[in-house]
Amino acid sequence: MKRFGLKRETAVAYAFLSPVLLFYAVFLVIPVLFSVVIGFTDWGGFDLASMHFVGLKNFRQIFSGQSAFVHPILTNTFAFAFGTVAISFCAALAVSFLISRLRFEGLWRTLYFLPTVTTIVAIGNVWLYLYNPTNGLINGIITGLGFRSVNFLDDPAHALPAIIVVGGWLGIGSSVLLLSAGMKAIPEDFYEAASLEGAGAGRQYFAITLPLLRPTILFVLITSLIGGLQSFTLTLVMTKNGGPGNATNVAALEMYNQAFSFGNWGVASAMAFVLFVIIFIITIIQLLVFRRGGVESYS
Amino acid sequence: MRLGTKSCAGILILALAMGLAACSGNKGGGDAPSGKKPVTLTLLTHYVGTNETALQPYIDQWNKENPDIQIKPTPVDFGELLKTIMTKQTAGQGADIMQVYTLWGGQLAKSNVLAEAPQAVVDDVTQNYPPAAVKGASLNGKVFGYPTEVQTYGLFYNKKLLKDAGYDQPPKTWDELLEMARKIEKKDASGKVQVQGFGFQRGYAGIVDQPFMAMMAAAGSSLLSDDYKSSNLDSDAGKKTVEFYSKIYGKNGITDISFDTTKGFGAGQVGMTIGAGWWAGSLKTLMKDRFADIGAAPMPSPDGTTNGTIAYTWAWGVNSKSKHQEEAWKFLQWMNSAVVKDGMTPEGNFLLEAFNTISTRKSDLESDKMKAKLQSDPIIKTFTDALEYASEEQSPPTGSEVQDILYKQLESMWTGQQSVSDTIAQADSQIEAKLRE
Repeated sequence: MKRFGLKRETAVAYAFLSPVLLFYAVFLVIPVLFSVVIGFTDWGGFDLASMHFVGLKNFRQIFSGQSAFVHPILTNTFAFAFGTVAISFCAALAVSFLISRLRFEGLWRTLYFLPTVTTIVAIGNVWLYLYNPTNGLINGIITGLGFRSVNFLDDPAHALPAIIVVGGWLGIGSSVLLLSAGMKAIPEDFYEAASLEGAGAGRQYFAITLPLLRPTILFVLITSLIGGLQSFTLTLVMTKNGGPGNATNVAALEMYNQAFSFGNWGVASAMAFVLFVIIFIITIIQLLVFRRGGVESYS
Repeated sequence: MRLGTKSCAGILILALAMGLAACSGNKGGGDAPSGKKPVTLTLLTHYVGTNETALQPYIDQWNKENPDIQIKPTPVDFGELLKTIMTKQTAGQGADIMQVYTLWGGQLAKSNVLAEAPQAVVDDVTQNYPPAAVKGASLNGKVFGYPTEVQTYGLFYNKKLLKDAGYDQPPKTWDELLEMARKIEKKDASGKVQVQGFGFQRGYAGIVDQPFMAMMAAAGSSLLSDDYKSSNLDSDAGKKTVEFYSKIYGKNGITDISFDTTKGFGAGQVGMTIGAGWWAGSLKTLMKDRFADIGAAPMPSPDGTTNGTIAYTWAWGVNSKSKHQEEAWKFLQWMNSAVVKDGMTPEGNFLLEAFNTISTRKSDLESDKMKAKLQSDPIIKTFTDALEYASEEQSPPTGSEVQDILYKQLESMWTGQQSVSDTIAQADSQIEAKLRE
């Protein structure tokens, strides 16, 4: 009777899950598998019947000397991802710590989160104005201080760092949200005990807050890095084609152009598969490094 | 309790089934079993905003006169047009009639997107349009549709700025152009450009590459060989053109790359730039009274003795997967050959009203209105005359990639990442490698 009841519960559970499972199968699993298959074909993107198998040709092409995929595109992608994560994570750690000591904590958190909920297209265009070498705000300040204006987005030496700054600024809000929530989960007892032992704010931060925040830090770093490695919209809005030259071209933008501008869906899918493998390896490394820690491991 | 659980499961499964059924609705294009329902044809173009408004009266006229064949425009931004064609075609929801940029011809031909035109249309096009337009509306030597916009490139200039610098006429040679540009250019104390003497428009591959190809044509060569097997960048004309480009922006450039030439010209702050004929219509709308300061001239050439430019083409085509190809061709034949107003076709009227540009169809050009227009509008006349000697924009199967390569190489040179000789060598070798694919 009990076993019979358990089977019925299982059936009901699957019945409740079936819409979501179907959704993921149709909109995630099947497209991902299809994308992997396309990576081994030559397809123009118009007619499925014209798809034909070419083996590893697309992968050979993107890793060949003639291709810009490895350098500068992948190197730009890594620079962008690690740069934005470094900026947003370090800033978010500091901001969430400071916010936790201020009144109106909710208001501060909201203010820092606002860029996260604003459309990237709007943000990109605002920063385009800020960076404008002729009448942008930043160059207005620079020239006001007596220096020459800086051509942020047309100078290959400055273009990528300029976009990294924007990406890092964008990422602060969501990281602050997660890190502050993680900080709130740390019991006050630890800090009280540390105070009684004579530890100051700094010692408490490095000895208690950071180690107990490890799971949250792991989550923030993983999600931020994945987002950074897949970034596309900001570069598209601010430099249109990853220019000047390929100075700001990143993997996702190149994939988009290969597929939708040039009709090289096989090459685009091969690039996507390579990026997937890279993201997977980086995520595994992060999991291994940060797997220990958190409140539970110290309780 | 068990009954309640059973009911929940049953309701859920029923809801899921109904949801799936709703999602799989039939979206067929008007095909009715009785054959008496009107056929609705979708018309995919890049005519948005004011251009959509200008096209609508002709669509409405057709729809009124042809209740059995209704046309439904579905415009998208130019930047989204190819992607829209691609995704809709794959999804089996391609538009019946499409306006395509012929640089995409290679991609479209590879995937058999466009239907072959019926013989009546082929004869109509070959007999009534100039060679550059016929070639532009052909794939693999076969006409696929009606040429619409056939745009040549020329020199736009601001008469007032030229006059302020002491010049009554636009330049005829490249050296004259550089000399005039230096005199017209004005900068403030901090080195910021206030008035630009000459600049190239920037932003995407086409807007950088097409003037380049026009200048190279004026220097006597096309970008690619006629058989699309090699690049001509390392020819005398190619080298001269790249060297000229290196004198405009960059370390040794006559002006600042950060100055927005497109916006600046419309604001009356740029002396000269290269543009396509359609731009005159946009400038007229933007500049209003100040448009009277704008003039157009043929492309300057290295020594002023040769004429050369390129013409790019847009064309109407019918989707090879359309279930109503006969009706689609009927509409296109009306749109491009019927005389409806002022002695011109609907297409001819639309191009004039929307872009202040002329149709290349002989009957449109011979209409009284067009003759009067050509006499009274020197800018249109300049770009129309250029059709006589314009070469068509070359569109190999990898045409978009070839242009992307050239664009990135020129931008790299302009931003100091590589020298002129490296630009020529790398662009040449990368383009040839792409042509061999």
